[in-house]
Amino acid sequence: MQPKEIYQKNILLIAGGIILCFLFEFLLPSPNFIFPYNLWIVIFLFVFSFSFYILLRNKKIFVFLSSVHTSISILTIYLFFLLIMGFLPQNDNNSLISKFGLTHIVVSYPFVFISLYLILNLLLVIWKRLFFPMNFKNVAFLFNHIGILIVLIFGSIAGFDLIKLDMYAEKNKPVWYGFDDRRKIKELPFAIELKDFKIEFYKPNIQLLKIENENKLKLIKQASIDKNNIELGNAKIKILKKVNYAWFFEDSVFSSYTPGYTKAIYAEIVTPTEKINTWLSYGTIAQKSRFVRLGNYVITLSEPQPKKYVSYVKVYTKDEKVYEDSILVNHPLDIYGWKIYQKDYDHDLGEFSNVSIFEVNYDRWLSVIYFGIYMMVIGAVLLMFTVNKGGKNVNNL
Amino acid sequence: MLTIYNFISAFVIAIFSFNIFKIIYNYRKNKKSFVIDILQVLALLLMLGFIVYYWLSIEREPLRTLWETRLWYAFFTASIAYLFKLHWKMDYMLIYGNIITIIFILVNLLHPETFSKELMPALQSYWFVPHVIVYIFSYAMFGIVTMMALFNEIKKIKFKTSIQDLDDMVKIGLGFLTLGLVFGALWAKKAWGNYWTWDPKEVWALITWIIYLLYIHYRFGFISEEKYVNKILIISFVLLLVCWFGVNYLPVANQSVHTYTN
Repeated sequence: MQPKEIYQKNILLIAGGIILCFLFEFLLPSPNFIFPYNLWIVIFLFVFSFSFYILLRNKKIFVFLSSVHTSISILTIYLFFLLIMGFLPQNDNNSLISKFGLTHIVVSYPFVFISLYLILNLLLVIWKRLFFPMNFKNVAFLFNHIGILIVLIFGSIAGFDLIKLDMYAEKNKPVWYGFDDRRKIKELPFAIELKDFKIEFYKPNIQLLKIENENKLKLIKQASIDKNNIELGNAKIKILKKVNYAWFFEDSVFSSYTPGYTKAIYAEIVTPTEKINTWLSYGTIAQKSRFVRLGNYVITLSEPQPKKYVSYVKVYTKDEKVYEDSILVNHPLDIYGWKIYQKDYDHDLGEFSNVSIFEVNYDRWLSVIYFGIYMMVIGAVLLMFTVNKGGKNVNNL
Repeated sequence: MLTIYNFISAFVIAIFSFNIFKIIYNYRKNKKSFVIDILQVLALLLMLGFIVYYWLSIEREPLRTLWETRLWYAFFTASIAYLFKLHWKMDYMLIYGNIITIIFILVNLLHPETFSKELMPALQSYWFVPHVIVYIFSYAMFGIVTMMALFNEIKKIKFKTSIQDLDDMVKIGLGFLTLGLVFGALWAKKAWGNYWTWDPKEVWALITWIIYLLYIHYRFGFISEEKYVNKILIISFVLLLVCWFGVNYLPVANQSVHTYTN
């Protein structure tokens, strides 16, 4: 088959498929392949593609479907969908483009169609290449393609099966349930009791901001308040006093470690035209920020950013094990395959927060997907060693 | 910090510009000179020295802001160009690499950094450095490849690269790009509970990955045809730049969790 013929047929096939799928999208509810139906589809795909290879590998249809030109056609259309997604915010609304699935592309019929076609093409190519002589290039090929196939297939179906819940834990109250995205309660095979919540903040910075317009301030420069003499643009700042747990009542400042406190500095700010002595602080739930305005610029303190937050928890499992552990961002807890993530806390109360918000999720396909990912890693490394010597065919130099 | 950076940058730009002109001069006079190597290595050491000094003084991994990614990018591009110059014994590799490096240093000089030492909890992970480094490395490879493709397209320029060399560099770049994508997925699983969420930055990363994947398949399917090679590579790099810098300006930006680069 000539490449031109393959492209022509693919254009017809894909265009037809996609138009049909846009109709489905308009008329039918979103596709939903939950376990075990998705597993059946996967088994069917494997069996079907293998028998296809065994029975029809010398026929025109197999050459067509497993051709690299078909891969190029599919990837181009796949890229086209991704570009729509890259430009169009994926929020559903009642507009016409939403009804045709363009605001939820990943779960729309046309995208499912092109993904399935991609999977079929990958499967047939892999069967074909599995029976090729095993030289280095072929091994690299197989690692890359099988890895991607596994991630693509199981990543797609995992989306339908993923259990994802939010869990709100108050101090000293065991919780054994979470809320799904429709706010429905789901019971869990374990309970978690928040024993303590600790949070550390970075120190606030002293900042020079430019007033771009009424709603926008642009950060020009910032400095740590550890030093006593700071230069920000034209302004020379001398910190005269620091109050860690400051409360302002009019112009008097008191110190009290209670929710709503701010950190404040008393500074002498000298610019070429003026000299100001003033308090600077960031805003909290209870207090306004204190800043100084110099023409089109503002000097103030930034709100401290969280450095680290930890929930100390007690876990109760169904088989009556009880143990203590901690959960922080990037260090989820694993309870029989359930993963517990530190998601959020009460921002208004900060370190006084009595609540910690966890995300709990369970993905039955995770280990399969990891297997595919590791194959991709090996494949990527092998790919780099398939390059030729190079540097020989240079013109004009 | 900024003063040191400005000083080093001026020095490095001077060296790299000198090397570009020296290579063209040598080519015309059919000469070779060792001074190019000495100067290039000196400039690379200066850049590396600054990165080390910066890393130590910022007290966190210096890979968070766009300014910092450009800092590494400039260093990687110039280094890769030099490695390929040695490997392929082709001086003109430095022209490509040094031009890009100079551009990126200039962009950094025009957009000074605010040097925040903060690193939000989501970024405090052992995946942070490998994820970003392999990405910047692959971007550097693709930057050089794009320069080569551009030079190939411009008729007036005599330095032309063979398509086979472009293919090889794209394969290495794609290898690193794949690693970056995959490390990102493994990290996301640890940090947010999902290896893939179709976040705008992820969508654009996938777009970049697929366009280079398409290039490889195109080359596999049309071994003897070279008509679109340079054009595909140039378009690919434009998409890569959208992924790197442009996402923040698109209508999808406010849906992204990758907002710490601002």
